Amino acid sequence: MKNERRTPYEIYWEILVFCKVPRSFTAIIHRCDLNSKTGQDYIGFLVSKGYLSRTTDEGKSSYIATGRAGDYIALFSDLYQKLFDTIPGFKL
Amino acid sequence: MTNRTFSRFKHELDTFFLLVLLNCVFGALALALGIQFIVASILGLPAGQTLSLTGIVAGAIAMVCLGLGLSWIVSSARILGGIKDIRTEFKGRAFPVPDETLISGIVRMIAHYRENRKTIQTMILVCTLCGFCFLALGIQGSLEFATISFTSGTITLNSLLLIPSALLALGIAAVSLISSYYFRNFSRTWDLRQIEISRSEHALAEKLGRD
Repeated sequence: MKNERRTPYEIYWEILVFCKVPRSFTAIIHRCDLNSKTGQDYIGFLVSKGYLSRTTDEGKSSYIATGRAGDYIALFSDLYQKLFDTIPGFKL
Repeated sequence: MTNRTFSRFKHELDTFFLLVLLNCVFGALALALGIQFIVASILGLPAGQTLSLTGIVAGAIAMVCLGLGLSWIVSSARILGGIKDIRTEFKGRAFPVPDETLISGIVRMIAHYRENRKTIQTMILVCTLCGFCFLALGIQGSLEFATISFTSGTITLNSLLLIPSALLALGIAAVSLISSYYFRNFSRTWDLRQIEISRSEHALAEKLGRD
């Protein structure tokens, strides 16, 4: 997925879902198709708001979603499911 | 997650995939038929015989059809590539699937739509134009193979060989006009979803504490 084709909220959701288990910075930007600079911005924001926490294990740092992330993931899932529940679908 | 959301998403994905695949096939047919009409109306003339006005018009329309057919295939193939990847992930999967898998599919589909919105708009235009061009070719072909006598009320078939190509042209015309209608429908549905996403961004921003 190209970065500009997703909204920042979709990217935040992807990062948080991916970080349900500890992930390295490289793994996050690779999985979420971000470059280093934008990856730093997104991850930095989520850390600053307490949705991601940084842990260091044997000199390797990784990120893991906090309990707060669950609220955002739930709200996001709810809103995106509604797109299919409330808007008449496409059919032949 | 409800079974309904999953079924609807999967059904839409399958339906759209089928529509785009069908367009690839008919795009190829339109291209082939465009070439056939050019060959028949311009290059197929016996030596020394001049081109009639209807022949010139048919040849010109056939050239337009050729271009439109090519554009039809290229656009369909571009859309098909992305949709195939998403569909592969959901193919053969039955309810229940994890919430994240479904939402990830929805996000990918939205991203795919955003990326290909212009191409889909082009498809709507190309399909409509192609439909009318082939309709003109089909009518021209039909007029050539049949002579209607209003005084006696009889229809005389001049050449049975022209019937298949005229019918094929009319068939492609019908498919392209129907495709244009369905692409418009698809686009309308996803545009509405885009509007809904823009509306929900406020709630998401508030939850994240983003200005």
